Amino acid sequence: MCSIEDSPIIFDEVKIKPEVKICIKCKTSTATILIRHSTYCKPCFQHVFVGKFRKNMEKYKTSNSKIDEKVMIGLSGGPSSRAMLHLLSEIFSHELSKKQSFTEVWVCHIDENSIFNLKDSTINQVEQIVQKYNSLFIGLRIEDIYSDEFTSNMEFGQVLKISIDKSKQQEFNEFNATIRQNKELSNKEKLQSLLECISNLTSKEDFVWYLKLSLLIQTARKKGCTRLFLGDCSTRLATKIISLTSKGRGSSLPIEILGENNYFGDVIISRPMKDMISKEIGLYNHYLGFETVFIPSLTSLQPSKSSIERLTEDFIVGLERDYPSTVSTIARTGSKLTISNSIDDENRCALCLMPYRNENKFFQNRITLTKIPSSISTTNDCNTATNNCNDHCNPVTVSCSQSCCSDCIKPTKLDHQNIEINNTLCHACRVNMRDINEIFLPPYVAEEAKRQNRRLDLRKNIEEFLIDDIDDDQ
Amino acid sequence: MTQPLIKVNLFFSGGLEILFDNIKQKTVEISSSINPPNQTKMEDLIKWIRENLIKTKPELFMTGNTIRPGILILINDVDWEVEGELEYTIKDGDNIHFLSTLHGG
Ligand SMILES: [Zn+2]
Ligand SMILES: [Zn+2]
Repeated sequence: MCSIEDSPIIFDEVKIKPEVKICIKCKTSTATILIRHSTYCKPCFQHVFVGKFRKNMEKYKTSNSKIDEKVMIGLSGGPSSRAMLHLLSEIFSHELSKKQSFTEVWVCHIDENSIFNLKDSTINQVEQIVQKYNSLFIGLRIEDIYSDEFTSNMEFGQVLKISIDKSKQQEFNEFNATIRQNKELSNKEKLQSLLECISNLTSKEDFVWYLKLSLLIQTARKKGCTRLFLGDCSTRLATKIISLTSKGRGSSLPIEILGENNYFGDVIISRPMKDMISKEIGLYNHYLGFETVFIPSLTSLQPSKSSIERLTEDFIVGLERDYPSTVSTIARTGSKLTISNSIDDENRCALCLMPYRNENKFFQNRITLTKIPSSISTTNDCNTATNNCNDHCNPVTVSCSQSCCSDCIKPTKLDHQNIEINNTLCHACRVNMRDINEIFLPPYVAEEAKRQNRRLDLRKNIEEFLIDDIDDDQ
Repeated sequence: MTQPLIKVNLFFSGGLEILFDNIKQKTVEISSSINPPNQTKMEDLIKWIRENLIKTKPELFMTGNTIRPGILILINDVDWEVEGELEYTIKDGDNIHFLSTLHGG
């Protein structure tokens, strides 16, 4: 994998203060910026910054671009996506005038303020920024993921509730009935009750990110966009490489960090900011006078150890200060990862949409001390040690009302049916669910779980007729 | 003998303003020699801010005797890393931006 041109991973170059403050590019102006070990004047810095972005965009165009492509820009309003909006718009306005590739540009913002129970919406602020550009704007709220329109068949209109603990079935039935009578439980309340039952910030951050990602992908699909631009910069990607690995999401790492990937099939994910560090972006925005929107996070004002992601970020930016190649080394190493061949790309986690390994529940039981689900005492037939306790003891189920699914496999007299969701979750999502007794999940999760279950059932039925790959090799 | 005062314009952004009651800009008057007989340096200014302006969580502004990693400082639009960082001598009328590049401020 490693080629000779790649500089080896070195940490021995402790930051050396530059003595001569002359721009290394034009070699005439006084330097005003230090990036890694290089000093630049303001115009040269901007030139290099824009050049790096254009180079990435050129790469995408030659690889995957279609003619008449509609694209979507994910804009949180934070520094990186703010800079990306400007840089992309410059390219697009040039292309639109020449009637080349990109024909329609959407900007999608997801307001996360419901998570923090803030009254003000960020949508207006972000829309004001977008108005300066020649793009179409769509502002959503994160709780919109609970509405019917963000499912594939657009009619899965149902609050879904997962019951891990069978002893709470009765309670659950009552609750389910209440919800359906009680239509005024808003999407916002559903989201808040979901987050309330997740006790640790790491899992909570995870949930929020994957709900947002699902919402972005669904929105891109609805608008007919075949490409979604995300503003992850290299500092962010380096953090993700470490934090996702720590959270047991190593197998989906390439999908979450690569500059370009088509894992989602009809929507290609592009990350044109992947080579810029957060310092460069901060300086670029400052010099161009770009206003950014402050997006609070679950760990705002919290100590370092409040979540894995927060701890990782502090660790990486701390290292980067003394060893200015930290971020680029991690990001460059990570960019060499590819999706494992042993991953069946039809195995998609119903919640985070990322691939999971075959036999994930056995994998889980083998490698972890965490028992999932946690309520071992509620069943009699499972009094063995944790690592022997497989899913049959306490299946995680999703319930949906009969009316919602026209294609229900087994109609029952109950007004809801349970969908087993545990075997359609990836390892990390199962860990996240570990201390959750009951939870509201958005409809897309149940839809995906149902689809997966149907596929798994089908596979089981035809299994004996399948020829194993191993047989082929022999 | 009292030292002459110097006026400095401070700016907080990128979410850093939440440590300062959401105040994004403040002009302050500080002694030209906070730590006599030396002239006031960036190190003194950062400490002065922590002691006089921060409303909450000073550990999210400073670590050790310097600024928390991930917070950029611009002195009159120049990266403080080319201005000697903590050793920079504060001058009357300086515009100093503190800009957080961290996720969630
Ligand atoms: Zn220059
Ligand atoms: Zn998952």
